Amino acid sequence: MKIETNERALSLRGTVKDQDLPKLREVLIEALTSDSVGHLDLEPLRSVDVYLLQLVAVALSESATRGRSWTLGLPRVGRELASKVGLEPHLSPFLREKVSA
Amino acid sequence: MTGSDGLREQFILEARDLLSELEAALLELEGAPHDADSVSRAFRAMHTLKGSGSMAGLDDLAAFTHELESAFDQVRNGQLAITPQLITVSLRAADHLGREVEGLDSDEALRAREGTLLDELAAVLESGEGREATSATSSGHDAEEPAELHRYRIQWRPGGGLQPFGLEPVALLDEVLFMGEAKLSSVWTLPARLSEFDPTVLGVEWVIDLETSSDQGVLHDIFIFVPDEAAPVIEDGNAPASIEGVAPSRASAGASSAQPAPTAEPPHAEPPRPSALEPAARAVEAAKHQAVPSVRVPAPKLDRLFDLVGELVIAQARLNQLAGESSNDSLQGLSEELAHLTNDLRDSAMEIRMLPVGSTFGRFRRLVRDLAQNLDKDVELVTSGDDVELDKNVIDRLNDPLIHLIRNGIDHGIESRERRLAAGKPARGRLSIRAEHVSGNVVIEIADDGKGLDLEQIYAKALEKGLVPEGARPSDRELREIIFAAGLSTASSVTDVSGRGVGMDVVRSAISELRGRIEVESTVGKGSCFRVTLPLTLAIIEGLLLELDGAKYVVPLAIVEECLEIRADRDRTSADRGIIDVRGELVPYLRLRSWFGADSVQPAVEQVVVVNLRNERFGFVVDQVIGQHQTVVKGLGRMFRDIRELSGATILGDGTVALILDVNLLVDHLRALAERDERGAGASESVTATV
Repeated sequence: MKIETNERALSLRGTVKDQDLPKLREVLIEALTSDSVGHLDLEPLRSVDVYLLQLVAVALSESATRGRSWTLGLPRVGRELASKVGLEPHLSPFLREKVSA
Repeated sequence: MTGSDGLREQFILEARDLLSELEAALLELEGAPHDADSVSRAFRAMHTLKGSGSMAGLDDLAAFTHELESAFDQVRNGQLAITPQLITVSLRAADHLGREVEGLDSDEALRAREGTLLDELAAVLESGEGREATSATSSGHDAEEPAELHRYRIQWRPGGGLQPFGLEPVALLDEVLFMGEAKLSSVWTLPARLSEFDPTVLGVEWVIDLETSSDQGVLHDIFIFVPDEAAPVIEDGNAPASIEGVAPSRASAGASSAQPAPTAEPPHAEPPRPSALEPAARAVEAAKHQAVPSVRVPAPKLDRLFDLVGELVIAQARLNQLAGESSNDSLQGLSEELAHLTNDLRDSAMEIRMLPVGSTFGRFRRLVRDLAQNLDKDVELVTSGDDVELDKNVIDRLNDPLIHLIRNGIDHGIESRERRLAAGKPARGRLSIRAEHVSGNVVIEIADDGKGLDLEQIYAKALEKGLVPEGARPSDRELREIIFAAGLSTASSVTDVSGRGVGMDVVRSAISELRGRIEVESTVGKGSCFRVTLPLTLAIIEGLLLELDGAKYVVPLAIVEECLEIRADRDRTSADRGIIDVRGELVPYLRLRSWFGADSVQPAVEQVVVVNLRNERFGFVVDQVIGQHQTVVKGLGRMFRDIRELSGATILGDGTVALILDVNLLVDHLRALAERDERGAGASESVTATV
């Protein structure tokens, strides 16, 4: 998985593996602390799994707690997965309207 | 090895068992199409294979198995009858899955065969023949009657138990949702701060209310790889509730929510009541936890362990010898203690390698079925002694010889239906395979109720092939033995099953390599019985150490009955063989000194080792009996492979080598010589001694 930052958007690309998650958590903590990110873009990812969605949900929740809510870009498969596993309420308030296939 | 490699390897091991179980269930169903238990076994094997394959990333395999499973789901629901066509295509599908699991074919070949099989399966499903007998389904209910529905509540908190095993929670969830009408609720408990969050742990509890025709075993199979701490609690929703209020409700430290799952089937009008586990379900749960845990270990690792144990036994023998020569009490005490531990370790290691022969017998059902169909014969396979255990390595190497014997029994032994009826026999032939323990060995009998060996035909064929000299008439036993000669077949035509005279000689040599022997008994018109006698293990045996002409030899202790002393001068026994009177019973003996051509001076007092082979006693005269010896069997290597009287070697405590005698072969020599004597052809001196 690749993590890219462009202006205030943090994008994830490629395939997320189990071992990527701790590293991503640290990146997100840093972004929250430094207030360097306003948008989290998961749309370029090839696949999305429940562990990633859970991590993102916590990050988004904390961003809201800090008073600077992030927005989220999620591919359609990610939305469907979130809906299936019950994480939709934690993610949908942050979603941008654009839906990718 | 990576996690995914490990998962794949684990899947292959599991899949072999599942396919074996599937084949056994299908073959049972062929004989008893209404057997509910066999339908359930077949379905569960397919279902578990599908789930495991999916988890191992074999999506094509999972998808193919799903189609097969769907067909058997129809059988379970009374919508489809078991027919020979369905069994045949299912067996071929199982073969195909086996090849896919083992990676024997290219992807293109697999997909092509898969397409063909799915077409065949579809044709079976669409044919009226498959559906007309639905009232005779295994569960006994009418075709019109819907299958019995079960309601379950599955509460699942996977936590951190899945990721270390590479298990995908959503795939497991989908498996459950696929089983029937399901309503999924989720309760997520997530920390408020990312710094407090462990990304490998799922903070969710899923609750699924499921209505399905599948039984609880299928549910358990889905979670078969899930460790106990991450396994779901499954309640039978049909059971009366005894504990209320198990609906999910958890205080949330941070963000949490409970919502029904919109992706599942529409909510059931009356979801199952929350209930405690019913007694039967509790029993299943209890059994799951009380079952003896087992670990799959690759065979090479076991072999390596056993090699090391063998080396340890040899080292212990050397230590024991050194300690015995020493006056150091502490060393002697330590050596004795170590000897006990080594013995225990040896026994435990041997136990690990012992497997029931039934695992091999089960595979023969398919062989018998296919052969009988090919030859247009009706053959029933009966097995007994399936739980008799043998060393895994013996079982592995026994497979091919037994297949030869079964093929010959069906092709040459059992007659066609017409001939059997004409001979006053039942149209259905019977092939039986029986295993039993006899005198420290395992005896496996393969018997048929066919036409038996035609000794006159064998004699004529042996003359034609030059296996018997002109004018010589072998005994019946010798004629029966001739069938093990290379190139002899009495079949009038060569089929793809047998008849090329290749096989029985290979059978004998394969069994000899296992330090076993094969004998045949036969009665014309009634059938033949091949008796294979095998040692329990190839690795370590309790032996009796003997000395002859300054060299050491070992015979298996299990067959030794007693040792007697004879004096050459008093008993006049210097001949190479003779008969000894042991308390009134005459026992033939062979003087190994003469047999091996020893040229040292014969001792004045010799020992006769009396062995018992299938209730027959034989003696072997040696210079001296040294005593019991734990024998780690080693191969002799190429140089000695033609010396058939020796079946191996072992290393003694002083580092010297002792040779292991093939007693079965020596007894064969003795019998052959005795028969020659009886016919007056032998010129050897025969002397009777009395002990």
